[in-house]
Amino acid sequence: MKKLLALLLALVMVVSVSAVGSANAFADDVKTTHHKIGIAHYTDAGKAVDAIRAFLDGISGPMNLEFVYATLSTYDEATNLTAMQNLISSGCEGILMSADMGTPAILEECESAGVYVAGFLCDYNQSYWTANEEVFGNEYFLGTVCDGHADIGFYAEDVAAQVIANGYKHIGVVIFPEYAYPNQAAASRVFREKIDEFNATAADADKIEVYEDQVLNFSPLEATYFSNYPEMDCLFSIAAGAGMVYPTMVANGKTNIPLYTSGFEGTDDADNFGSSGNGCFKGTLCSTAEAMVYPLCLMVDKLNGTGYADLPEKAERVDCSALEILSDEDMAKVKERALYYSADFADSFLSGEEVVQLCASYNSDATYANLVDVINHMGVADLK
Amino acid sequence: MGKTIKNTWFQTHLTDLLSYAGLLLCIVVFSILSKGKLWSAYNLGILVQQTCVYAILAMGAIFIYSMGYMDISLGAQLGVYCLLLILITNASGSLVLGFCSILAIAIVCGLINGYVSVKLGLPSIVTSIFLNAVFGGAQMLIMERLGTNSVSMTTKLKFFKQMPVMLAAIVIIAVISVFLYQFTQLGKHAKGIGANETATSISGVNTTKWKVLAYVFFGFCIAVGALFLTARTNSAGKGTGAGYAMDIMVSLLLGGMPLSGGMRSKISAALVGSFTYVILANGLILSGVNTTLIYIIKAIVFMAVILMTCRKPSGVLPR
Repeated sequence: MKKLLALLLALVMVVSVSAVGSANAFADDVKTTHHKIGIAHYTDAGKAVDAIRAFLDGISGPMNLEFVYATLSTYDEATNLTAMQNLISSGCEGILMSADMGTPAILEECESAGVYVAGFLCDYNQSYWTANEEVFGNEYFLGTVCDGHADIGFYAEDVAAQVIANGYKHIGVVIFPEYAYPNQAAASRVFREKIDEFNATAADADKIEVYEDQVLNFSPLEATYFSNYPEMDCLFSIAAGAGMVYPTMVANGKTNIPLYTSGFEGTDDADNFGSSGNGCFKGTLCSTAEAMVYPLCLMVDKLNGTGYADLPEKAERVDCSALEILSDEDMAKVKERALYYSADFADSFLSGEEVVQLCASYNSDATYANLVDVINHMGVADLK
Repeated sequence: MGKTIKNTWFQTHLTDLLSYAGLLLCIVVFSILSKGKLWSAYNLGILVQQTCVYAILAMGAIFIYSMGYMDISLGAQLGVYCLLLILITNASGSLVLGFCSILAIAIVCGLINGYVSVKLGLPSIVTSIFLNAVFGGAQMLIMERLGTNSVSMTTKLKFFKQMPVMLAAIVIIAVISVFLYQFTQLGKHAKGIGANETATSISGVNTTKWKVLAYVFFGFCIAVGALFLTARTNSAGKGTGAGYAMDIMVSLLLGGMPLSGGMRSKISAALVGSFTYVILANGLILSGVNTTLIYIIKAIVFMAVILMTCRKPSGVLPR
């Protein structure tokens, strides 16, 4: 009789769980609701992509989420609109996107389809700066997390400090066009200010010369750059140095020039960093895949019809920690312990259960302030 | 005898049959794999929206491909026309003026493309490379001058974004194209040039005239395509139009268009090919196929189509 009762109870439990449809239970009493989320990223290859997929795969179970991927363009609005339309058609209830081209048209489309949008690795006020208000004022845009810091002046200051400490005298600076990446032009100005401060008190023999910005029009650095500046003994390529500058250095036998850059690809820049390989790379900067929890938690809460008690009224653009790699020790830590490098979810800053606890829908104590705080503790120093 | 006729008909229409079968196969496969999402009202709407520009451009391109030629300046032209349409409309407040301006430029470019290549005895693709460089440079210069990645139109082109309007545009351009292709000398001579240009010329046809006219109609289609492409996002940038030249070529191949042109060219190839191309891209996403696999699948389909449609060992590639 007892066995029959136990069987009956088990049956009731199975039926109740089935009755809540796709609800998923874990950690005693946390029940998550199934959602389908679109992930539209501006590229479909590289370390960042692998890390993002590994992270999302890792949390998909505990968060009860299904992800559908699409690739966006950083140049063409119509391509992006098509990608977003296809995601909406495939049944995505919300979409996280990382490219800012055609955003007003995309938001219009999502609004009419009742699909929410949030951003990652993108600040939504650069290429489409005229539409900034239109984007952040739209109720279907939930907010975005930048690719690290919107203002990367801190990195420029750190590189300037290293340049001064290492005694480099002739520095080249490479950036992308200001209309596309105003933060790179701003970082260049910060870098020059720091060097100027040093030069103001330095002896003539110690003064540092910084060449004028070399603007890369999204194409590799020309070889003539090195013949124009034969005395150059350090290069600060704020623009993607690993992809756009380093190959030209290799082709022209200039890997003896120390290179500080941004955008860590985990290939040549990892193999030739600091005391490894040819030692060309001296510094780099990137942001973590785990920062995606910011738009993801906002999205899940919105879809569940809940929200943080301290959620700002207007969608925000927030910073997240950057992985600033400036020494062999930093690089070793990133290689050994960062999800960004290993694409192994075991290296993630957050477990699936921890991400669940960050959502207001699943944890009544969760706060927006805590969410922002979490994504700002994902730097090299925070690697476990 | 009957068997011979039947075989000849089958051989003549094999490419058409394969293209229709391809479209049907796409529809059936993706209807199943997408669990019916392909047929949702929303998806049908976006399919029309996504196909509209391809279909209009492809119908213009048919006249060029029929002659065995190709034009790689299509994408760059399209990008510049979208930008000019926005800039002129924003400055003047008149969409009509904006459209007429790009139409005029497109027709002049058509004239240059056709006439210069004939007069200088250059292969048509060479003049299109020249135009591609000119328009690509112009697009870059305009965007750098504006100092932004993207420029928006102040007047929203919502009218041209509506599904019935887009469908009507496809139908109208199709009717005009079929009329020109089947019932005027333009179509007849374009196919004749593709089949055998020397023979067509010797038979007394002024091939220069018909080549130029074919390019002029192509220019008209690019201008109309630019209007509908701009309407989709109400904006344009330095990447607008990129890839369209190849997309149109692939669409035409999917529709059964022989790359060598000639008498087997048909307007239906543009429509069938455009829909197949868009459904393929849309269906793969709806079916949850991994984005990295999508490229491979598209490449396999493209290769299969090439192998099935190009049976001649020589004279296959456009001039």
